[in-house]
Amino acid sequence: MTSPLVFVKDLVKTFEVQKKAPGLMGAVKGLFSSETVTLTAVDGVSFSLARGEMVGYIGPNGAGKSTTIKMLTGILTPTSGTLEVDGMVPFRDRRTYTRRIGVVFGQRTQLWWDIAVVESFRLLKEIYEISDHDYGLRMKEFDELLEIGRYLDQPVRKLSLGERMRCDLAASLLHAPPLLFLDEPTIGLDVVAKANVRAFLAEVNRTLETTVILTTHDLDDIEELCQRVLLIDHGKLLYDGPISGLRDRYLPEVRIRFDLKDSALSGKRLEISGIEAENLGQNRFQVVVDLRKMASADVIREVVNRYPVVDLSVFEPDIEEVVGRIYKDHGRALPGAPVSERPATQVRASSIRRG
Amino acid sequence: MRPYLAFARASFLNLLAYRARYFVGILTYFFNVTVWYYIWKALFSEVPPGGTLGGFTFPEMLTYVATGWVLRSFYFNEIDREIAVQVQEGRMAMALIKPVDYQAMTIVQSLGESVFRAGFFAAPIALVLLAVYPVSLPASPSAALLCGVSGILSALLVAAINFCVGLIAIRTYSILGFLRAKYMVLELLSGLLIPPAFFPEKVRPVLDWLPFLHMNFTPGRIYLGLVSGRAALEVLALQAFWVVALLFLGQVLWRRTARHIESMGG
Amino acid sequence: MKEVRRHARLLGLYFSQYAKARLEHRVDFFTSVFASFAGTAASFSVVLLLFSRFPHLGGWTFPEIVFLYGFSLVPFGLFNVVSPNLYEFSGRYLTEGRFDRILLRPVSPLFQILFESFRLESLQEVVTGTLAVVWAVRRLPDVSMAGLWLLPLWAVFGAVIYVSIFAILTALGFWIEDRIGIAPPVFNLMSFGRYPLTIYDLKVRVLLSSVIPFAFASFYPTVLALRKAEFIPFFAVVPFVSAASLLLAVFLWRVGVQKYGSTGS
Repeated sequence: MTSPLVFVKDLVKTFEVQKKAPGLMGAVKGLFSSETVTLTAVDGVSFSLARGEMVGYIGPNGAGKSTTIKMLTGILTPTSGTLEVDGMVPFRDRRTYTRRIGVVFGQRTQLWWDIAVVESFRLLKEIYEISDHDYGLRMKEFDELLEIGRYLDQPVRKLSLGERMRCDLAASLLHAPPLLFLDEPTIGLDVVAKANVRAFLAEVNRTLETTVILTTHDLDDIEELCQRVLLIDHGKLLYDGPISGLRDRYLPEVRIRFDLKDSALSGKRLEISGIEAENLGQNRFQVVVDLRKMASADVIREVVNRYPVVDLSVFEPDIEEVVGRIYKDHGRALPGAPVSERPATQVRASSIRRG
Repeated sequence: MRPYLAFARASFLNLLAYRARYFVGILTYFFNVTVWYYIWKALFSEVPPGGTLGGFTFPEMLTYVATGWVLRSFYFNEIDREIAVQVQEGRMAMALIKPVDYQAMTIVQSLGESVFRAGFFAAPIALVLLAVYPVSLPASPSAALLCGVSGILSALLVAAINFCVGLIAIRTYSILGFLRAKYMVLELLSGLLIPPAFFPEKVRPVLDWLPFLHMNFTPGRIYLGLVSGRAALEVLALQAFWVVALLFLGQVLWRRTARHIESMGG
Repeated sequence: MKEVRRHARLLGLYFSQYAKARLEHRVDFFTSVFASFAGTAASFSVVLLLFSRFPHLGGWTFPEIVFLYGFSLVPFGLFNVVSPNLYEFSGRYLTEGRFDRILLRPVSPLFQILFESFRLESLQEVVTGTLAVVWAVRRLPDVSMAGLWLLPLWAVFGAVIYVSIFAILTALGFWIEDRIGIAPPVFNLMSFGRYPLTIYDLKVRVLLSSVIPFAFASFYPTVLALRKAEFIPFFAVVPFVSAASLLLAVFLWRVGVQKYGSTGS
């Protein structure tokens, strides 16, 4: 097995924050002295990524997501812990390291605002010392995949958000970095633009074997692109594994919805396997099945045997719902829930239950 | 009045937050007076002892310079820069939906700043200057009083000017460059650096017909007692006239700008 | 050496890109040049109005004073061309978070801050200053040719001193939380160096030649051309002061970036 591209162990980041006393007297006092409090933004995070992986890094606002990304990209130094990417320590080796990564912030462009996009690319070509040959090759490739050729002569400020994002993606990959960080790459984009961006990322990941770390609020991005998610809250890594595992662990339930032929039952209370069915009206009922207690097949069988069912469908909770539940519960795993298969998470799990 | 006071208080607290700038700021005013102290000392060494330059003796000139800079530390504000930045960053639409007159809000805010500056800049700077240089006290109690009134009018005048300048600066690409040029031009035309007597005969009348001398020269010469009694009141009236005129100009410019912003959507 | 060449090429590219974008709005550009010139003219007027009346100031003749003031505009103008971002560093880059993007590029952060944007219209000051020097030279009976020939180079050293001092002040933004920073007040102090040092007494001379070495940027470079014998040793020191202040600036920026890395602000 090859060594991981990204290796993170017990990563901690704390900040000293100035305490500002309120009011006029506080402000006068602030002229002469200041007090600080310590905040822990990232609290013992460990994981590693293999080359070519595409992972989603998710968590609510203020969870420590962007602090982790800033450490991974070499903007911030860790307070403690080990951090190694591609054989380098990001902050220490920053100047060399930045040549090996690409970064896209969805909210802020890396292109120069007032000059034509192609001029920005030329600047980046010099900054990253890309040879004419490679530059030509990649520009051609990106034009094929992203169709950016049309915008190259326009200044960035005249582009739409979607057009700008495509140019930003191309700019971040111009120097062919083996590792790409994406922060909210689809924020504010319409459905078509989102699909374009996702298709491009999947393509890049497949053909160039670029490792991608994606933070996003749009969980569709993750579902479509990532085989693996890392979930962080209150600075701690709560989950590390496939999306399906997230469901099994935090919201192991399905909803069985069925329509009945006989309207005579429509006003009644129905009980299946000890669970009360919710009456949705118009002869439609729904049962929520806790998968830790019973199998959905048993419930379906009982429904079909006992009632005149016309139609029946099974819904898994969607990922938004799962994550919403996790944020609400602060990541308390349900007792008896299957635990993710990655050892890193098990280590963390012990410290989670306190929360 | 209540909302305006809240704004004034906010800008007050904001200023206090910047302690580094505070201490260095005081030092800067001291340095500025120091440069001019040496320049005038060198110039006066070329005239016979007790002689005058531009109608000022050396102690008078020194006092004029000191009051000028103390006054500047009082009336100084950056509303022009703030306005311009607000528009360029597209935040001006927020100002348009507040239920207060934008010009009034801005001017009151700058006056709030001036009240703060009176206590935290002008007073300590004045004390330092009095201690270090042979600066004289006001010529008479009435000179002190009238100079106080004139100083307040200066602050209003500068706020009114800067409001207009901000609205003009919006139209230029490099706002800071434009504003820096403004400082240099106004330092010359206000009489802060040199009293108007040093200007060529032909330029003097032009200066008298511009509002800028009322920023510095007017309160300065009242302080020195070079103008007093009825004449002083006339000068104050003229100064007040310019305040009103420039506030009016600002209102006109603002109406235009607001219409422009509304049509551009921020 | 390779890195130096690369940075020189980048500087040229940054500059030409910026100039291209700027000249797209030609009317606005010329308005800015005009405004900038009005400012320079105003401050020059002060000197002309005051000193044209006197044969001497601190032992300097009027043409000598014009020479000094004119020359001081050259390093000052060069400094102004590259300083706009320095001036806005705390607010634009630290508070608004643009500095993260700077750190993600394999180029020195200070280099990027200095050369990502220019105040092109300040080249006007270089031209105006040069014209003033030419005017003065034609009225001066005895000017050292060697001093004149070295003047352009010394102007660059002077500009480096200005840039370094403000880069140092800007670096303090890493420690002091203040949107505007303390650069603006110090900016006002540059006017000290534009008058003959002989008018000041010893403590001011020492201040301008040590803690805030503005005298090395604008005053001392002129003394060889003007044959001010007592100051000529200082003329020779200018390149060293320039190098030392640059090194200090680069060093403080390194430490500042470290500090930013550990506090994120």
